[in-house]
Amino acid sequence: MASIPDTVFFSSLGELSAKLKAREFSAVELAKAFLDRLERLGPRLNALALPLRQEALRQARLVDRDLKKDRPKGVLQGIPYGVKDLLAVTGHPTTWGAAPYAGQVFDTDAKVVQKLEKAGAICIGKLAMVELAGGGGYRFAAASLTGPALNPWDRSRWAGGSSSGSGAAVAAGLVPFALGSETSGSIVTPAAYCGVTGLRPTYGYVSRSGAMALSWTLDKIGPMARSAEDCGLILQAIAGKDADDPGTAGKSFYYAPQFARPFKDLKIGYAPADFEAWAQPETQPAFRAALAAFKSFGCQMVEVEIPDFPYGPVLQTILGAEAGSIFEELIASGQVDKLADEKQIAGLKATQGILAKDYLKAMRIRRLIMNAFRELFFKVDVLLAPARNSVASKVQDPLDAVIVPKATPQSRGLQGLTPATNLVGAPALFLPCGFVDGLPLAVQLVGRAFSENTLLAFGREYQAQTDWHRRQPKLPA
Amino acid sequence: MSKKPTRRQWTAVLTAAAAAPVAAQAPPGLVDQARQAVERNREVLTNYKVPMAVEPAFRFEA
Repeated sequence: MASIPDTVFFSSLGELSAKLKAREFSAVELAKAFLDRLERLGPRLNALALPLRQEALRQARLVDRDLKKDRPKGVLQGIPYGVKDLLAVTGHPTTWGAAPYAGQVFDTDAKVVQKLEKAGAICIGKLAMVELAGGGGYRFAAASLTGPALNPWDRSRWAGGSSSGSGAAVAAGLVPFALGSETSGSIVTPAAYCGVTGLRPTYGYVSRSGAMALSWTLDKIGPMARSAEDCGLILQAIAGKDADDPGTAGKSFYYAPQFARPFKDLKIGYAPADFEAWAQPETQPAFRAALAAFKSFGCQMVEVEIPDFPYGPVLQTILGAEAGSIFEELIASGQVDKLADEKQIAGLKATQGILAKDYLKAMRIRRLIMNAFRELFFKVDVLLAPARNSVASKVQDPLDAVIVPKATPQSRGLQGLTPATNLVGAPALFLPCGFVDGLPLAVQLVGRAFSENTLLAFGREYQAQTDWHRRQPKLPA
Repeated sequence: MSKKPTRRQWTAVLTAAAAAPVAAQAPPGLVDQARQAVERNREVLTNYKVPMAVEPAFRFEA
């Protein structure tokens, strides 16, 4: 049996694929090595919901057989990965991170799991998440069936949520990539806090069939991985129309950043205030360096400001109304009281008081927001901003403490970009861009719908010039 | 575009980043606070003027 060097745990998809094809190790050996690591370190980070050893090894044997018979399937063939525990895997508990659903078992794989299996990737585990993806609003990192997900860079810090285990597991080298989901912030936060690359695809690119629904008009599934390139390769495998998800757009995705327009023809919109007044003082040097790196690509830099809308109330009303309907039975039955976070319980109960007129008004304002962003994306091709204004919070700290800069900034910059662009359904790429006190920071690039290749081209160039995405946390032996 | 927002507007923007109703401090009365947040959102939406012709984003296409 080939020994697997530790460097493999932080290799890119291309590197792993090349080693598999060169028979440096088999798919079974690779899956075993990652499973051992996931089972050993996953629980110490509260990142693991359920290992899938037997199924993974069975599938890895099939991959080895295909490789032996020279039946290549692409770069994902034989690559282990993990999924957020809101995605169904046949015959195993899919808990949605929540006690009331601890025994829930589905008889069909989620569509994305089926697609990845078809591509030859091997699901080795379900990864921890904030209960019900945080739909009711939660106050503490401990709002999860598996406890607070710990940040691999500093275990006194939170990994972010709600795709907590996905972020932590990729950062710690427990899986080469993972799937997460975002309704409003659930990929960007763990990607930024854990220092991994995340891609929130355009709404409708990826089927959500077999995934927990939190908000039909906001939910997206996307990859969290080592690089922009890896995210592109994963999106290529999971995107596409699905009759079982009426939200799918009917478009396939082909990762081809080489065909994106030249950078000199592209315009990046940014707001200086985001990198100065809005960012926490200790984060500003890293954010400014990232901005300078993007400026060096030769793009036209355009100062912009986010259109003025009440994003918070609009998003909270739409999300609350849809989640309140989806979880109506949970709330009415009183099972909601079994959740771990009191604020989450209260928030879900309060959704039952959202009126139809509130939802309709929010959806009408959402139309105006979409129109405003369409106009904004006539002026610029992408928006660049810090992904989060600060580093990961301490595990025990309340998450609803609002950090407002001491001196109120004169410009609203692009603050509110996360709820705004989730309402719009726009894609976003999250890129590690530095560290403060050993904790990662990230920037985000947001583009118009279905412009993922442009975002990925920027991401690939940025990551060719920097090595933030290649940094590795020191983990307990 | 240069209109200076109020502190309340900043707070609404910042708290929206987490997928959560604004509310909540420590118990007791968490449910009441969450309901008050729903009310506050309703107030903001009610006061926001939308032209009659604007349809909801039901046919949602990014």
